[in-house]
Amino acid sequence: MLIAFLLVVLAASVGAARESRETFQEEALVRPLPDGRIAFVAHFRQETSLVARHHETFPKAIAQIARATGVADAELSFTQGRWMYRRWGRPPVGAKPIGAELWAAFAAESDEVADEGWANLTAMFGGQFCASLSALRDEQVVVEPALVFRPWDGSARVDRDGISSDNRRRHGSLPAEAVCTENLTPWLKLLPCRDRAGIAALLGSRSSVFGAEYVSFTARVRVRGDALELTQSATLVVDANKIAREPEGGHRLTSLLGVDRGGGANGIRACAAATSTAVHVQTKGGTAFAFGGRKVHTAVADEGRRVDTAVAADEASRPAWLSWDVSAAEDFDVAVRPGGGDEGTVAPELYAERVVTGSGYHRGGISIELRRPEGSKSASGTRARLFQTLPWYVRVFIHTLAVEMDGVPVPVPTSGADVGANGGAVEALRWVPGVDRRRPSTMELQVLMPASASVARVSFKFEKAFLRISEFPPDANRGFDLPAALLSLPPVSPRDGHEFGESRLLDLVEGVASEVGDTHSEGVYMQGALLTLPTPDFSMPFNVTTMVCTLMSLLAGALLTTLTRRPGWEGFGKLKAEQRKRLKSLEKEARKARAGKSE
Amino acid sequence: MRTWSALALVLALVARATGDAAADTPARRAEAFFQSSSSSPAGGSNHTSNWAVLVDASRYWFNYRHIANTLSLYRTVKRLGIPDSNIILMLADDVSCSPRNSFPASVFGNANHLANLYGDNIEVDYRGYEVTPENLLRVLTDRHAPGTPRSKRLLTDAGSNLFLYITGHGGDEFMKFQDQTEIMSKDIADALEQMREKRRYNEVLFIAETCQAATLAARFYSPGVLAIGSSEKGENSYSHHLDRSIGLSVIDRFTYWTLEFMESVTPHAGATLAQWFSQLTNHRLHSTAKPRLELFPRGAHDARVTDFLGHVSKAAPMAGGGYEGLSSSRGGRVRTESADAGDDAATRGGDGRGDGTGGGAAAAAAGKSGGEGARLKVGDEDAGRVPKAVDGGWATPGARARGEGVAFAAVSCAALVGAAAWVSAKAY
Amino acid sequence: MRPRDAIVAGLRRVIRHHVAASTALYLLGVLAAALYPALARRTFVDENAFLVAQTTVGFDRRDARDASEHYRAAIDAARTSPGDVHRSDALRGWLEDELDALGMERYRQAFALDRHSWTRGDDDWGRRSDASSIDNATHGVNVHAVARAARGNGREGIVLATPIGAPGATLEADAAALALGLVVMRTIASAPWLAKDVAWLVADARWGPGDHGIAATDAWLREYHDPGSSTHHSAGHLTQHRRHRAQLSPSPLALFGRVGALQQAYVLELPEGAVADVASINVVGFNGALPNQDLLNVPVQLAKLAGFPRAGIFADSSRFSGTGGGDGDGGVKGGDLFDAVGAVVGGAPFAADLRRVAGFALALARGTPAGSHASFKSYAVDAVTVRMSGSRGVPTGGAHRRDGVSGEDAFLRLGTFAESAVRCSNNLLETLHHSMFYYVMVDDDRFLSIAEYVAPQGLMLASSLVTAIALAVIGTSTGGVASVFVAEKTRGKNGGKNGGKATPAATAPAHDWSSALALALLAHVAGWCVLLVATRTASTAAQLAAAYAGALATAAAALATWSNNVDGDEGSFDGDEGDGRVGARREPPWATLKVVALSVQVASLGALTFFNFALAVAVTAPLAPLQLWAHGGVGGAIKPWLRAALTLVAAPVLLVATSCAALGTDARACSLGDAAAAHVAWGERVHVLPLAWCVAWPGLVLAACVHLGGVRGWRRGASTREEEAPGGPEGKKRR
Repeated sequence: MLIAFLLVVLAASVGAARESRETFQEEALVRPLPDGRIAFVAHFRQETSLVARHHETFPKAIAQIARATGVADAELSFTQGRWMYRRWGRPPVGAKPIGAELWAAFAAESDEVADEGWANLTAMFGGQFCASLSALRDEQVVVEPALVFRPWDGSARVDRDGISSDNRRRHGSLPAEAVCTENLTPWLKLLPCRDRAGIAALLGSRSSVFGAEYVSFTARVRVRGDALELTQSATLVVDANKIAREPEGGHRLTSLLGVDRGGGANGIRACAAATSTAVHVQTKGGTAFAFGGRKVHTAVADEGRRVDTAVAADEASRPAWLSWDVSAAEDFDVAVRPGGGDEGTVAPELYAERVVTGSGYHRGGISIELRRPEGSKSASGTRARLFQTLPWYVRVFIHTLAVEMDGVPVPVPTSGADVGANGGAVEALRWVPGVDRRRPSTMELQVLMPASASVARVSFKFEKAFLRISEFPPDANRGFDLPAALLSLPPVSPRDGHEFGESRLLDLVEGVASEVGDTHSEGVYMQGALLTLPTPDFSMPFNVTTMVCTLMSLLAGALLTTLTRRPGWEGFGKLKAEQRKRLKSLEKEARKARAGKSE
Repeated sequence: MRTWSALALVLALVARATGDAAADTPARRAEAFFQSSSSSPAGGSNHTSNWAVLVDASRYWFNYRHIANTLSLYRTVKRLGIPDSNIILMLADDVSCSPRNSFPASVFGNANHLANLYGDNIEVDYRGYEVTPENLLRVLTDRHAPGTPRSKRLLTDAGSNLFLYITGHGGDEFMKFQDQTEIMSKDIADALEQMREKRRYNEVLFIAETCQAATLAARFYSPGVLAIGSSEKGENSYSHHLDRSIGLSVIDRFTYWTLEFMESVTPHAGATLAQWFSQLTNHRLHSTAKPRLELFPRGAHDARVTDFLGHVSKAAPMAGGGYEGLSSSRGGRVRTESADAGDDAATRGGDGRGDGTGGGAAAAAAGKSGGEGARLKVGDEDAGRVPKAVDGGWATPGARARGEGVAFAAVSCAALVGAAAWVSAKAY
Repeated sequence: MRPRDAIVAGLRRVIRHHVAASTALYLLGVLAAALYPALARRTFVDENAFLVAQTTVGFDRRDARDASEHYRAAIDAARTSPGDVHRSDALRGWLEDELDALGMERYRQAFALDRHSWTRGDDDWGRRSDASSIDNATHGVNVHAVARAARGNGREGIVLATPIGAPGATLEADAAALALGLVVMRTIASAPWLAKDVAWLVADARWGPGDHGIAATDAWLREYHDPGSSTHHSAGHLTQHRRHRAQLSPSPLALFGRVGALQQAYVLELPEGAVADVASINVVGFNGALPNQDLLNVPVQLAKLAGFPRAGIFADSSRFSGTGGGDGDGGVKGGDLFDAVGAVVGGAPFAADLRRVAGFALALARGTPAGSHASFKSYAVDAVTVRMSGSRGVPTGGAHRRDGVSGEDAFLRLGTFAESAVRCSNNLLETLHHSMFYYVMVDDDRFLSIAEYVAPQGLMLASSLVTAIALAVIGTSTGGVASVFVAEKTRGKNGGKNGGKATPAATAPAHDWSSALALALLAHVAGWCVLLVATRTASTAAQLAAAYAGALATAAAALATWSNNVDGDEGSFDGDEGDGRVGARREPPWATLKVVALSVQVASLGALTFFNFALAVAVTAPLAPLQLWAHGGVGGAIKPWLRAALTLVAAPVLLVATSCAALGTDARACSLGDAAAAHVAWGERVHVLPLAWCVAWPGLVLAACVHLGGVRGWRRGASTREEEAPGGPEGKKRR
């Protein structure tokens, strides 16, 4: 009996021990940008077992969400400010659109289950992150992308059978969502050390986080087998010109991010729960001085470039990687001095800009411009996938869809048959028309931009629908925010030979940003736009105008009535007929009389 | 054998510890706490928890001061010990991270910029478009759509004291929400009555900071409600001072002097409401702030500030674990919630008053609980009431004004049509 | 008596005395117009979100110093530029270098010129003012810089515009504008409160109709709202210059930075360089289109706060020819008229108000914009032009001691104004949506809303309407000047016995609408043809020829149809004698024509009231009495032929003369040819000429035809029977 008891206890304890196997990795990347800005990326990854009942460091809320919603893969991002591609080049980790964006894939056998899971996900994330994500439950917002998340396997099919049944995707975004402390704090509270220690301590100052010119933090929940993975990454762009430099001419990370406590006590310590804490500096020809920390041997490059920054300086063509391990025992800080080589940033393959054309309240248009960076030429053409969803009140005239290469129009397939036929530039086109108050319209387009072309322009026209007075938001006269459009570019390969095996963050850096779906493609978001719709206005001059116009039109109507009606004469028509008859007879007599006279 | 037993003991302890840890999630604690408190007999005497509902009803950057008002009270109640889980904070706009704000992620209620009211650890439960009369009434009456996270719900019981603070642009017996919709004094009064019938509060402290704020509480009739407004009927409420570095006036007078007083209050000091109200002189406010006491028998002299704004010792366990309690263990709640929404409908369907709380706004709530007739009735009498002056020279027409515009236009057009047609028929 | 009956009786009485009623209504309208100043209200900033004057301004004296240094540098750059470079091009190049030094986004747009844009190309200060250079110049060059809001979302934008190279603008003026813009943009770009991107447009104002570089701003906005269109658009024009443009103007693929949805635009003009004593606000756009009134009031307040001694829409007396200001220069010839009215009503200030109203209304009626903000307005962007000038010849009230501010002090004022204007627009979350764009300014701080100013027009139109209804319903029995006394007598006789109902019912008129409508149509088609002639050949003679040809054709047609009808008319009335039944009395065709003409005028001018109020009033005021006066009776001192001639010849001449007098120009200057040329030069966007030829002239022609109606009666003596017609049936009824 005792033995049995012991066995039970043993099993229980062993089970507990097994469940509590969790990993937490944190690392940071610092990259000086031209024009004196400095990009800072913090990246966190936690992993636990999906079936575990009890978590030591892994956030319970996330585990519960994952279980309750049956989500296979979901990413939520909050963003304030714009990533300036032209000035800063390609972002270290994929830039996100302003506001809140949520996409998820569900391992659901039917769409109903997926929708249910989506509804739960939005509600629970909304409560978790103090965001009004509940607006995304509305079917007016959510769409199901088919093409843009498909792997870049060369196929350009837009039907849904490429999406396996256990991988039903939903996508929604709130372009006007405010992003502030109440969103960041819960995000930080998902970390074992919150913002007390570790890399996250660098995000401790709310005013400098949200004072940054670009701040975006994302949380991604992914189920891999029975492993549950939570990946968080935050990207900041701070203006180093406003911060005092160190004597040796560099910027200390802590002062850049406004978390220096002054004196010698500067720096961060690794979070005690972290299995690894690393800081990378990526600069071309610049240098970085570490205070504390242990320089690690990464597989980034050979000896010279890794250790000796002077050698890195003349190797300005390729980024120099400097990596440090941060210990929990001593303070670590790093001062970065941008080098001359940082002016040449890696430009994305294409710049994308979206313009709302036209003015006024009735008609409008959208023109998306894909522009190849100056001087960059690709041997073969560039493929790009366009994903754009528009609210229902934007009634797109799809027949006006036009694609131009350097101002020369190219044929646009009008039916599924001739898509991609005769090697047209438009290789795939998926168009889901919107339904009033029920469904937004979705456009997915794959274009092949020939090597010769430098500017491709996709444009179409639309009509603005009238909204009911109850459908206007309180600030209707500001305009209506259109969600950002996404340009998905194939992965850059080979990534100049580097393989960062042990570092999750460096996997993301350099071109393989924004793992949209599971394809390592590069996502370039075109910022949202503002659309003015006719809004009701009952201020006085309008009332006067309306009144007077009504009055005058009515008077005109009355005038017309009076002109055309003969009051009180029912038999008037008869009378006129008689008169006419008599008139004729009189004329006849008169003619007779004349005839008689003439004779 | 001894070693065996020792090992067994150790293992047992380990297992027990893990088991406890597993069982002792804050959510469970919260549930247990609520079950215990709600099972206790209701009555004015037993006061077990404090809750706060702080509402900023007005949008736009130039209404910064209203958000500062709300955050001043938020700071106060948090400092005095009400956990975030017991605070429903409604902000109709985000000024702290607005690019117009020269001080990102911070809101100041005073030009000296000493206290950042926004803080590092704020929880905004309803924000932006979510701040509507409908949602406020849903929070008060706890009728929510399925799957509403716990952080958005007001889980009071018969032992809870409720502190309800509303600021924005208002007028005679109405308060404008985001310059689009209104909530009427009658709506709030009926919501409070419904709460009383459902034994969802012990006492209520209602504060309104707007023009003619006192009229917002004029229709209250439920016992145990103490109401005070920043100004009497026909009076305006004024902003306190201008912050030129931010570029607008940052706080209103009532809240400014309230905050002045509250900063001196400590959780265990016996400061009474009467002392607080005595600070709000006409000289300071440029308006009359007179508490309405007839529904509050024990009077402002006996009521301590911490009875409403402070923490209650019995509620202390919640104070720490407030956050993790949020939005967790949602799974089972959908059914129970829809269920009690259902029997709400059953109970409320009889007397139209409860459903009438919707006024024109909470259409969905009332619609669910099948009291259309009553709702329409209330809606009509709302429509009949014309709003008077609104907060300091506020010029834009409110939704009610728009409604009147429609009615006006429609009626006069109809009249014109009739007149003209009939003139053209008979004018000669 | 039920109110219903009261109303009916009242209406009947009005209809019966329609001549008196119309006259009274018309006079009331004139009186109401004369009472405008009494109705004026004080202006106010309608939108709270502007948050005017609640902040500290970042633009300080150091910035002002930098501005004056830039100013000198710009002048040097322009002076030392090689001889074949146009000065504004030199300035542009200098500006682009400065912007690059600031690290600010800048873009260059070359826009093709319309055929009539580069007719105004020459400039009186550039080095290449000979005609050949103008012909070679086939495109203008806009430069704009963009200050990105660091934390903003780039969906809304504000535009600052400083046109340079305008005809008559000195080098100092352009240099000052550029220096101001540079420093202001630098200040704004680093401001922590910036939420909207700001674009600074340096428009190439050498071209285009008017002196404000409308063509450049138009081209910029076209490209802004329709990418790649500026060159597509230009394809139609100046084919003979395509070869030049081939290498000059850029491809449609040039990079063009945008700032989201444009919300407000401020056009700053410094015609006298760095002097800042008077800020005159210009709001008048095409055809009297006005921006939201807040965009007039806010700049006024901001300018006063920035230290301008005088700011406002009437600040610069030379702007409005109607406003004589204190001294008489540029004052209206009709000023004494205003004085007379003012003396009668309310004294000298009243007269001054009237003069200002008239000046503003004239500016609206003229329809030509007062600044390049007009092209923004045509893209639904509220915009205003602020012209900063010295206090030369401008009464600056009690602030004379502060006059003559220039250099750094001036830049301080200008920069303060510009930055605070941008910040006010930056504070807005919504666009200006309260419909405060129907107004007439009485003074810098007083205005008339549409509710007040629409009254005279309404009354005048009502007078026409009453007559039209009366003629249509009870015909000439009591209508027409000639027969009114007869009608009065008859009514006096039988008024006691048979009350209101009988009289109109008994004389229910029979109208022959088809011919009248055909005539009206003919007249308007003729007018439209005249407009065509005007736009094709901008010559006075051709227009006059076409106009009178059309008029004669209409008149001939009228006489022809009527004479035919007369043959038909024979004996149409003696049908009534036989049976006791009262027959429908046939109306003389001129009455029918008059009804139609009046209705057409009421409809068209009533509609116009809401697009260009001032123009509508200006047309209605003379046209209404002419048409009311028109009648086909033989009575009266003047023969019908003569009346028609007067209507067609004397009246227009008189109108033109008086309007020229009011405009302050001499009558010989404003020839029809120039008007047509101007119409074409403005891209046919101004409504004056079309209105004159397609609405006013047909009205006159129809009035003349109505007069001619009497000729026939006089020749055939048929009109006598018409005179007796009312007597006849009533006599029968009395037995």
